[in-house]
Amino acid sequence: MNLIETKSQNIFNCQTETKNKMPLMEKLAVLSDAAKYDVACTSSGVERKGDGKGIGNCVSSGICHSFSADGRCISLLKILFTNECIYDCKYCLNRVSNDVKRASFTPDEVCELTMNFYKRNYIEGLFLSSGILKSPDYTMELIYETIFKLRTVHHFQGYIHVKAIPGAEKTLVAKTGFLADRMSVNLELPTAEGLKQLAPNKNRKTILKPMRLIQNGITSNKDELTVYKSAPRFVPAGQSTQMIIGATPENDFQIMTVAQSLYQNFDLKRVFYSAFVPVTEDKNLPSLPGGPPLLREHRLYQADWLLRFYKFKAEELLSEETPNFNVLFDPKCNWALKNLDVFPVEINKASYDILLRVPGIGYQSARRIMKARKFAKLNFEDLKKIGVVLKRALYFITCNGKMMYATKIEEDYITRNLLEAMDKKSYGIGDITYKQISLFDTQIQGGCSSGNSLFM
Amino acid sequence: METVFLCEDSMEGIFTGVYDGWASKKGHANIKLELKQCNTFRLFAEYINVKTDAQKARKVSDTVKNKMGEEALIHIMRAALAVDDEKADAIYRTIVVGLALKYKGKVMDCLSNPGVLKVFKLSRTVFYEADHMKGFIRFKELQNGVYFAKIAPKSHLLPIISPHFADRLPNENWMIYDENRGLFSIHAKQKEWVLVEDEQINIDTINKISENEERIQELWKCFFHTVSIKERENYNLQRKNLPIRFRENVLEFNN
Ligand code: SF4
Repeated sequence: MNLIETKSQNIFNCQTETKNKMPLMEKLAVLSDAAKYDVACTSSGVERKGDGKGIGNCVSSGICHSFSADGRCISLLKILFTNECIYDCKYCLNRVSNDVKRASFTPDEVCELTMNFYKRNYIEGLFLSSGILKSPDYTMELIYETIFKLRTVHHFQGYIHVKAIPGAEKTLVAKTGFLADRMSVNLELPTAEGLKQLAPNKNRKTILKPMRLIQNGITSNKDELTVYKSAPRFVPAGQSTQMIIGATPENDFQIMTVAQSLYQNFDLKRVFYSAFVPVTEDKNLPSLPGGPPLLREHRLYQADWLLRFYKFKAEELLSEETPNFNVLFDPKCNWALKNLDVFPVEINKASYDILLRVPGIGYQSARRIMKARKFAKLNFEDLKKIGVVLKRALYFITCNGKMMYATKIEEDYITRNLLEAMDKKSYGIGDITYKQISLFDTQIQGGCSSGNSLFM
Repeated sequence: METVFLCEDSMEGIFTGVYDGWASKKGHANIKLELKQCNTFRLFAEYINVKTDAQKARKVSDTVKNKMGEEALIHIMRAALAVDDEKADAIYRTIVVGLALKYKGKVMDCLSNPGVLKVFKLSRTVFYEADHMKGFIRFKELQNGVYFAKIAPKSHLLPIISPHFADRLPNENWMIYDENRGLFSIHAKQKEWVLVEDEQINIDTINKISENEERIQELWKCFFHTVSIKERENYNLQRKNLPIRFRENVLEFNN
């Protein structure tokens, strides 16, 4: 460790304060550990070629560089600038009342790590979040300084995602937005009540304010860009947010409604859902004997996908009466089972929007169907080639007026058949077991009667 | 009688085969393209050895681009980089179908044609592998300042991934070595990248890493391990996302 320290100081001449004597390795351990609960790790949303002078480019689909032991994609160097914090959010390891090892990077250290990792192709770029050091402004200033150095001293053109710190001054946030590819403000908890309960120093208003600011920045930048092509771009990969799932008692319907209004009213690119991991003890926090609610998180992502790409509305998927997702079926399949009067649909005639709603037909397959049927009437064999999952779709479609087999269009019947056809794996994420499902079932979805009766 | 055109397993080789096959005017149904090394001689067939010719290949790729569209060309080129015994013929069939179509840019929609379907599938396979590789390649900094990476891909990926890194790291000297094919792609600072056949790789140079290298590697491994959430550990998912066969040259999976 000593060796590392002296080396790093020789080579990179960090402006170290006495407090900053901690070796870089140790800081990295502390500050990546503290950042890992932030789920947004994608590097997607912006396509930027290198300019031939600096270093780096961006690929709009994003690139995963590794996968950690929890199976999640590693795309960005995800770190906090500091885990010091003046706030006391109950779900958070870094809260002021918690006794943990504290560390802070210097802007140069963050640059050193980013540049060296990027050149070796470990990462697509940087994800920089932070606890609140001294004040929101002070923290935002440090974040700005860091990415200013990356962009102008190191000529880094890879991906940068930074947090806007709620409460930070407007101009600081705006300045930062011209250097970052994506900015995000965490909603933290789905509702204002949840926030009040677990994050006493935060409120909905201070969170939504910078969100609106970034949105307005993006909109006015777009206008500017149509006039001046070379105008600097403001947060080109858009804005995202995340909320913690399962720390507070909101149901899925509430969560999806919030997500939907964020997409509609704030033009967010992505809403991320983070299954609550109880890292600290507090009487206000739920204990989760079955582990983090991973299946629930998975269902929310599926439903989110339906909102963004399949033209579904939250109210179609859930309601006050059925406020939580079905454990056994994905939200789209569940919708189809509840709306059997729409089916079966004719593959050679149905509109794109209707094709999107057929279980087993993804949006790519739907697009291919639209194209291919211009040349020839499609049959089931063609659908298979196109990539339609027939064992799911067959209950909902006809090809040239005929169904694949004679089947009843009846909820119980289809449900039974679909369940039989499912292998255990497709229940949810990877290898969730039956046991975990039933645990989850009683724990969170106790009220979801349809899910339970299906099991029997 | 069937005429078999034996081509070299390279993009240029296959495209030359397409040119010669077409020019022979024997009728598409009587023509078959095969790769030299995987051909098994049949009794009632005539064999023609295709001599790879850059100009002929160029003409084919231009025609495909102009008449069938850029997307079709990209699919076909990717398919040519795949490992598959029958790819040459599938490419020939796809071009036959594509040039007969009234509309430009629609050939990849004709998936009911087995040749097109094959090209589509091969292209997808190569695309996925290249996509993975763009993420999983690891460079190390050598003492002479060169960033060096070793890969062992199934498909011939260097032509796809090198432009990506040339755009990304224009100011570095870097080198990617495909150990399955004995091929290098080499990029000198501010120059175009080039493909070089096994020159004799100098093991000594490759093993001499820069002074800073080990420290950065340790920092990366440290990050890699701390960023995982213990409560969510899921090695099956990790294996699904990063298959074992990719891990051989990925730093954080090798100690
Ligand atoms: S503001 Fe709250 S959530 Fe953010 S670091 Fe501080 S305590 Fe944690």
